[in-house]
Amino acid sequence: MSAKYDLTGVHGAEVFRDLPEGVKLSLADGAVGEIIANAHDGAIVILRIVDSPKDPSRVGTEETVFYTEVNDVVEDDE
Amino acid sequence: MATERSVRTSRGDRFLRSFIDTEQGTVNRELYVNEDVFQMEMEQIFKRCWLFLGHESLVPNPGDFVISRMGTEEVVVVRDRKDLQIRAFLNSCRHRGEKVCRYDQGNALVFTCPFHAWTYDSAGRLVGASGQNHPESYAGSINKDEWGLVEVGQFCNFYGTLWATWDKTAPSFEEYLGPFAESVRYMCESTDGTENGLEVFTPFQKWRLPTNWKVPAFTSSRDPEHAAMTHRSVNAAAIGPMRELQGGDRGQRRHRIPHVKYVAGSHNLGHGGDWLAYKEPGVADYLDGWYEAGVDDYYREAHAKKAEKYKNRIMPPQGHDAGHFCVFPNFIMDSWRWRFWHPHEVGMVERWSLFGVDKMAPQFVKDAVRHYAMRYNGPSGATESDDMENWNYVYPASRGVIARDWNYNFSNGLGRGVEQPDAAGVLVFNDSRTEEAQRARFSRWLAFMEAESWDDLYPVNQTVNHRIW
Repeated sequence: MSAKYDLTGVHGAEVFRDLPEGVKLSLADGAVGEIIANAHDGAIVILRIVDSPKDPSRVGTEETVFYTEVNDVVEDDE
Repeated sequence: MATERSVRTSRGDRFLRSFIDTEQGTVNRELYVNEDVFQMEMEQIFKRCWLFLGHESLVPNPGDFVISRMGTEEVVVVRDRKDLQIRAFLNSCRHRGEKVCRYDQGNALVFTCPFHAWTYDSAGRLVGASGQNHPESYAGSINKDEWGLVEVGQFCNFYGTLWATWDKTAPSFEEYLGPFAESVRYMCESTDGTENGLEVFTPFQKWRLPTNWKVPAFTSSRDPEHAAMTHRSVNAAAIGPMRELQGGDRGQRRHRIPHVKYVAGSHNLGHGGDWLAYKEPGVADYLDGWYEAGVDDYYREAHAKKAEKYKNRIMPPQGHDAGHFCVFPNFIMDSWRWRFWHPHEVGMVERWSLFGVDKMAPQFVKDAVRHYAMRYNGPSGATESDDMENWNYVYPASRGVIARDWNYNFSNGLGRGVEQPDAAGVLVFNDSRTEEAQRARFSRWLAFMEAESWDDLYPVNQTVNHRIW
């Protein structure tokens, strides 16, 4: 779990709403994406996929992601 | 093939045509109070016609949106974040129909339905949904290309004004406007003659009236005999734009260019209103009249530039101060005051008003125009509160079983209209205080109500003459 951005607590929606561009998120399917735009509604972010072990063709594509598809924030040192 | 259509009434079925007495110039009230007629209007008219949505200055930036209406339905007008084009979509999620946008105006990265998070980008494409990739949910099976927002059939940005129709087979917007296109273009000029030179004030005015949409939409465009009574108190108080009785000198300035003044109605197109046939090129002199210091200086200088532009050109027949005209079915252009009527129910209409101002004008000029618009127009202004008083009471006074037996009178000038040579039904000219333009709207109204498709309608079908009186 990210120490800086706790998406699991009672304030998880607010934390998700305020995630800045550039933060990386790990997804339930194992892919990782970097936030390139946040709708700031606590539900939707647009990611650029940077890693996708199961489907490498996704790397570089943009995906609109619902918060339930997000596992966690990927810390810089991970 | 156009066919006569009937509607249910409390006294049996009747053909629509039978409600209009073309010999006497009258219209039965049933057309204004009957639920079947209203539903048929939504199907036959509002699903086919080009409708006014707003102005491009409402959505200047990528992702900007504004909610508008087409008939009884909401549309989201949005400027795409990528190609910067403005598009319009039905404000209804493809999954369960919830509104995807519940704000009147703003900026959005995406439109996310609050029900199941179906999410659409600013080009209307479905880009996400709750469970879209979950192996126990959709598991990636949604074909996003097939489930975008419902886009209008055709969209047109005409000198900054935004228009749309649901009908992909409708003629182009300019064809739909016919001889009125030049007037719409002209009214989008700024005072100095710059094309598409206006912006509109936001937020714009909206209010609902408990009346049928046709009461104001078919009447308030060139209704010359209402002002002397309805607006008598406003005129007496001299709180018009030029603080003079009856408009003062300003009301006469257009007369300085030789012209013939008509009411013109296109029975084939349904548009119509004031029509000033100028005989010489040029624009009339500018007359000072604003309360606020410096405003006249701005307009005088701008007006001189327009005078230069038009020194060798004949003015369009509906220039500034030349009065109202209607674009069928529900839009009225009155110089920089643009009004449109959204039907909600047979007895409920929502009036929206946009006020344009020179986009390059200094702020103090924009403030002066805004203050004028607020005190003179709108639900809290002087003139439209007068009008609303009448429009409100027309409907309840026409609904009863006795009242609906009796026809409204649209006979002013009946039989005196003269068709433009070689263009039957396209333009009918009549004396300047007649109801020719209102009758033209009913000619077009009946044509739409009976038409199976645009093949039955002018201008797709050039052989028809929709004029019924």
